[in-house]
Amino acid sequence: MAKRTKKYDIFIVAAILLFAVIMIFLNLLIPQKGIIGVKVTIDGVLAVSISQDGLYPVEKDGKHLLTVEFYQGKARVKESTCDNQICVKTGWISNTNQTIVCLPYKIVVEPIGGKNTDGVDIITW
Amino acid sequence: MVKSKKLSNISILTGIACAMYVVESFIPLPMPLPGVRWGFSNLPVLLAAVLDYGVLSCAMIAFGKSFIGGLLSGRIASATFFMGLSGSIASALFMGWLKKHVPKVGTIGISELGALLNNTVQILIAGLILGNSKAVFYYYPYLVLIGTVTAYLLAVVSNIFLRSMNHDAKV
Amino acid sequence: MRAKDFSSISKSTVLIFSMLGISLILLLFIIFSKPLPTYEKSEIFSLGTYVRIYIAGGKVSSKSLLKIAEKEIERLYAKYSSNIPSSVVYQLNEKREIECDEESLFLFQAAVNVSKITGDSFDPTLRPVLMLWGFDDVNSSKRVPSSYEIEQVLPFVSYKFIDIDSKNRKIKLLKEGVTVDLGGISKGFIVDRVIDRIKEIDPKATGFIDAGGDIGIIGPKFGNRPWQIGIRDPFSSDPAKLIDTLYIYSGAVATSGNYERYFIQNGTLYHHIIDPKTGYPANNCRSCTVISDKVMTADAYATGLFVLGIDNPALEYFTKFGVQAYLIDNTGKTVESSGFEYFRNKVK
Repeated sequence: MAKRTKKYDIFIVAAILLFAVIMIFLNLLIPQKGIIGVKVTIDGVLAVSISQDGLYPVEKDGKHLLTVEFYQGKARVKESTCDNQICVKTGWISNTNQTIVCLPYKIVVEPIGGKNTDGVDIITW
Repeated sequence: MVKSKKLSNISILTGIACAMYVVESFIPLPMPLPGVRWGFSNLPVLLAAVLDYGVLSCAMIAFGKSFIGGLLSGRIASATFFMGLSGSIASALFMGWLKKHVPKVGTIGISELGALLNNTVQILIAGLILGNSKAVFYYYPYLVLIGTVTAYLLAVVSNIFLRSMNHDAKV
Repeated sequence: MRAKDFSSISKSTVLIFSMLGISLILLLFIIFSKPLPTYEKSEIFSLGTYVRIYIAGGKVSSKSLLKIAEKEIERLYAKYSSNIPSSVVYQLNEKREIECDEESLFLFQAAVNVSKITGDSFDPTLRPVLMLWGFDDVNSSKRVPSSYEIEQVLPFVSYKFIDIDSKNRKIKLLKEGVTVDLGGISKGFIVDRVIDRIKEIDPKATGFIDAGGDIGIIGPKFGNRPWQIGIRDPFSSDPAKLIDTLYIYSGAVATSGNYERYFIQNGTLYHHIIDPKTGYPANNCRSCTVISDKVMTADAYATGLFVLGIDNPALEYFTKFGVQAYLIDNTGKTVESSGFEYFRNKVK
C-alpha cells in the first residue's frame, strides 16, 4: 500500500504553521493599536481615504474646510474652519464604533478596520 | 480513464464545489473579514488534484466553482469575487502541478501548500484592489492558520475518499 | 469476500454516489439553515443632525430598506422642520391657523401633552427664545441675550397658546407673536414613523436608527440579541467615553446633555436646553437619559426631565407614562427611576 501521507507533508505543515506564528508575533510586536485607517466623507461622498500617518487637508470647491490627522491608529480633526468646532473638540478616535462628525460641513471621519474594544453598538448622547 | 468519464467526473466535482461554496459562506468565521471564507469548497479541487486529473482539470473546477458560486451567491464581479477567483485558480494550478511533478509530497502536503498559495494570492489581490495594504496584511497570518486547519481536514477527507475508491491499486 | 466485492464496484461509481450523498446533505443544509442577517448602514445629514441607519432586512433586502428609510426621513424632515417654508410648522407660524392631516395633529397633540405632564418644562412654543440665543439652527450665530430681551419674548411662550381642533383637523395659534418649533419632539417622532414604515414593509427587519444620539430600535441584533448602548460620560470631552451601558431589545433611548449644542461666553457655558419658564439654559442637570417605547417620548421627556433637574421629587411619577430616566448633575450625582436598572442587565 502506497503511503498517502508522506514524510514531507509533516515538514510542510510544520513550516506553514511556523510561518503563520512568526507573522502573528511580528504583528503583535508592531503596535497595532486602534484603527487601521479612516475615510473622510463630505455629505456622503468619499473625500479621502487614509491609512498612512500624516496630516490630510480636506477641501471642497477649492475652499479649505478642515485637517484630519492620522497617527499610530488614532485619528482626529486637527483644525477646522467651521463655527462650532465640535469636530476638533471630539479629539482622538481609536475605536471602530466612533466617528467624528462636523455638522456645518457635513463631514464624517469614519474608521476602517480595527477592533471594537468596548463592544458598544451605539452611544446615546 | 475514458475521456467522457473524466469529463463527467469533473463536472460532478464542479457542481459539488459550487454547492459547498455557497454553503460555507453561512458558516461564521472566528473573525469577521469581508470576502474571507473557510475554503471547504476546495475539496473537489483537491480531489481532482490527488486523483491526478491534471493541471487543467483542476483549474477548470476552480474557475467553475468561483464563477457559478459567485453567480449563486450574488457576489459576482465584486472585489471579494476576484479575490476568491484568482486565489483558487492559482492554488488549483499549483496543486495539480505538485501532484504531477513532485511525487515526494502527499495529500496533506498538496492540500496545505495549495491553501497557503490560495490565501497569499487572495491577500495580494485584496491589497491591490482595496489599496489598503496595512489592514489587509494584518489578517494574513490568521488567514494562513485557518487555511492550515481547513486544508488538513480536506486532506483527511480526501484520503478517506481515496481509500474507499481503492485508489491505492493504481498508485 | 467483502473487500473483493467492494473493489469490483467501479471507482467512479463510488465517487459519484458519495458525491451525490454530500450534495444532498449540502442541499438540505441550504434549505434549512438561516444565515445571520447582514447589516447595511447608511449615514445622512438630516433632522439637523447626523443620522445613522443600521438595518438588516428579513424578507426585503437591507439596501432597499435603507433607501426607503432615507427618503422617509427627508420627506418628514421637510414636513416638520421649522426652517423649511413648505413645512407644516412654518406654515402655521406664518398663517397662524392651518388645516392639517392626522399625523401632524397627533404630533402637535403629543407635544402639548408632554408640556402639560412636565408642567411646561418642555415647550413647543419656545422658538422666540431659541431664536434670541441662536439655538434655532446649527448655522445661526449664538449670543447671550439681555434679560430685557428675554422678558420681552417670554409672554409668548406657553403651550396653552396652541389650539388643536381635532374634529375639524385645525391647529391655531391663539396669540399674536407665538411661534412654534417642534425641534424637541419631531426628531424622535420622525424616527418612530420611519421605523413603523420599515416594520410595515418588512416585519422581520432588525437594526436601529441613531439620530444624533436619540436611538430607536427597529429590531433586536440578529433577531435575538440586545443592542448594547453606551451612555456618554457628560464630564469627558471624548464622546466615546462611557458612563454606563444599557442592553435594549426594542423601544428607544434618548439623551439630553448640555454638551450637545453650546457656546462659551466670558467663561460661562450656555447650552441649548432652555427652561421655558426662565428663558435661560436649565442648569440643574448635566445629562438626562430616557428609555421609552417610542423615540418621540424618549426625546421629549429627556428634554423635559433635564429642565426639571436632578432634584425632581416627582421623577417616579413619570414612569406612569412609560418613561424610565437617569439623570446626572454637575457634581456627578446621579438619580434614576426605579425601572432603569432593568436595562443594565444583559440577560433578561
